[in-house]
Amino acid sequence: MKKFILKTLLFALVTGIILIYALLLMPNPAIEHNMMSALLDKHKRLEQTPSPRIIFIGGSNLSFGLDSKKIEEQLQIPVVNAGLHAAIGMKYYLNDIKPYIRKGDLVILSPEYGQFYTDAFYGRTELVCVLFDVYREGQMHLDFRHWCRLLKFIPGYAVSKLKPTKKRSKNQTISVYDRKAFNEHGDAFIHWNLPRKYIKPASPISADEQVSGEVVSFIEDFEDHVNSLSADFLIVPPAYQSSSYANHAAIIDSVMQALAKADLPVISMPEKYRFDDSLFFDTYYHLTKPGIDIRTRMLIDDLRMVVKRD
Amino acid sequence: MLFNSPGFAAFLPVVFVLYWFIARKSLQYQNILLLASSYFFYGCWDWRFMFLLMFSTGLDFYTGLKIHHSESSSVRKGWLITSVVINIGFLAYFKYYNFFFSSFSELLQSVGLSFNIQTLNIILPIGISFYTFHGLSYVFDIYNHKIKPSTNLTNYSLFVSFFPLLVAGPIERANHLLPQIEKPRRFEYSRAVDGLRQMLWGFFKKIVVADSCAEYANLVFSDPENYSASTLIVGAICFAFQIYGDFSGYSDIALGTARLFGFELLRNFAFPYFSRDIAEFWRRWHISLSSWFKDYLYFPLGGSRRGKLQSIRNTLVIFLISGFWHGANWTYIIWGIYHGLLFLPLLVFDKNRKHTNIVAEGKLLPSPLELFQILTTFVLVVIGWIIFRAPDLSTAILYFKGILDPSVLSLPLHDGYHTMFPKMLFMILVEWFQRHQLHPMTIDKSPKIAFRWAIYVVLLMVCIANFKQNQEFIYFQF
Repeated sequence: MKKFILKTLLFALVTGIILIYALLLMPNPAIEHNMMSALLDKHKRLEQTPSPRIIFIGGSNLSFGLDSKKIEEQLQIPVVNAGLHAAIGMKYYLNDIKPYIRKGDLVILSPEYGQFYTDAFYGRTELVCVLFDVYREGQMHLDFRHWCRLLKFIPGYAVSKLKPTKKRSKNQTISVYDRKAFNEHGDAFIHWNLPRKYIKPASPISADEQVSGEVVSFIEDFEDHVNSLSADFLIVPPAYQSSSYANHAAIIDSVMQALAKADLPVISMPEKYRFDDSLFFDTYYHLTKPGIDIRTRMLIDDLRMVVKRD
Repeated sequence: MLFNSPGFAAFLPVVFVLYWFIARKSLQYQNILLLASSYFFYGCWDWRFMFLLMFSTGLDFYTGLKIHHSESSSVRKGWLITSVVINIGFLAYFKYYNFFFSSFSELLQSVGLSFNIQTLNIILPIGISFYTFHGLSYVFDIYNHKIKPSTNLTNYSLFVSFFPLLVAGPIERANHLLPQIEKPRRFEYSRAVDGLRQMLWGFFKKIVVADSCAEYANLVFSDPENYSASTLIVGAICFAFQIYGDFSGYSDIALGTARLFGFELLRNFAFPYFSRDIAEFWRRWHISLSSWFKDYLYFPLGGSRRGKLQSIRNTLVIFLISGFWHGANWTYIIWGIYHGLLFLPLLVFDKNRKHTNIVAEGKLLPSPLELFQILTTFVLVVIGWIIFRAPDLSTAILYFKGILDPSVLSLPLHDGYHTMFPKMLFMILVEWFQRHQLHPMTIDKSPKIAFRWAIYVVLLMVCIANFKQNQEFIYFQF
């Protein structure tokens, strides 16, 4: 028995050491071209773009769903698209952006609906990647509970770093999910000229799913923070594939009710941004270029009122 | 609580330590601990159904005693019928109520009669088909004077509820497991280590192979009209690997876990995809269920003693009921009949026990004939899986129509190819080379410890890398 316990513990120790080594000490050669590394470019843009400006923050519904240049031209105000990936989690990306908000900025949150009723709010493997290989300073944004939520994704990410990766050739084309797939405003553009793929609608979800009160109160706190800096805060619904919308109409309605109850400033209705399936590129949040043009136009109309008023 | 969950990773070491260190001095303490742990394990899904499990356990314990102590054969039969009716009644209510009434209503509507009955929103208690069969085998064996009833309710409850086998088998027999529960158990290093190895292989099959294949299979089966014939074929093969990796993986984890506590459970899989005909496949797939039906249905119906015709009838009955056991859906029933029909030629020509040895025993590779037989059997099994996996018969028909399309020559949908096929191939190769063993991770001492540990670490890392949350096992729904 003693031998069994000792050997089992030793095996666990060996496994643990390999995981820790991979996580903390092994470089990730693929990170240079990983979409998550675009976070650093977005930070840079946030530092360099003068205020007042519009900052879009959210998941990939923004990175794959905006033409920021058009918004900038139409509204005559600098635009930074800081949206990257929903799996970074709203809790992280809102904390991450706080140091960059300045007086006069208009911060626009466009969250994927899953942030309100799944653990995507706390981030997944993509956040682990950011925290250990892209931007270690970001670890300071996490409290103990947040780490606990993220713990289950850490071993998997550590092991993924042990996989051999192909060296990238110089002539290789830039993939849709490459760091270089983003333009100077932070919009992913490589897919603009690519054909769309078949996208299966999001599966219906259980009627028991409920909007998390923690998420709503976190957004309220964030709004208070933005307002305390003499900046403004708005929420806009993401563009969503029509067939997926049909499967999620009830929970979307609950999200909107929860936001309204908390008196959070939502400037449009989700139904308005329910787009035909043919306008989506590879997921039910990622738009094709024609879809991006429509959404951008609609956003400009929605924002024109707000910007003029201010 | 799923085997492939962080919760189980915490639960198992705690129970192990309590079992071998705190409760080791008394067999009764050990059994009480295992029983409490098993109820906790079960209650993690839905504590309300624990009462059903307890009731079913108490009923069979009591009727077992009554059957044993009754001298009159009519009284014995009465108690047996009571147990069977109540057990099957629960199963029928929870699993088949809606199916029976909706099928009956459809039947009447097809002849122009209307019969409106509301289906009920019934949640299927997890593992009900498995523990009901445990209990039934116990009362049948007592009735047939094969075993004596247990006089200890804790021991009997543990036989029904032992957590590794509670929700998806193997379906145990009282004469196999109860004596192990009643005898003191000693910790055996080699058995425990072998158990861990078997668990590791089970996790590999579930997490790495089954869950990867599931993504492709789910995509294709959810909307077969949208995919080319070649994609539908790949989807069906993926499901064949998914269900094998999922269910045999579960069984490996269950057997390995039981070994950590000093128990040997019945073997449930013996490399079924290397079978050379359907009869061999059914001797190697879900063995504990096949043998249950053989012992408690096929033989009581007369088996093959009264001629070929009766043997054929009994075999078809077994396959029909086996299909129905899987769930309240016509797809399962047709799947059962399909396998029964595949079995028929073997019965007619007395070839059903032709392949009882290990394929290509002592050889590295199969002969061309053996390879042909294996591939043919696999194709027949995959056709059956299409019926089994389709949500309804019309989807299954659409699926078959889609496969017969000229697009069979086109390239299949390639999402996930590069990662899925190496995993499937690796599993098949390892199982092929280890097919003479009880499980593929049976490794003797000859490779050096560093080499053995390297294998374990690599397998574990691959499991961690592929781990996804909340991936349930397919057989939980049965």
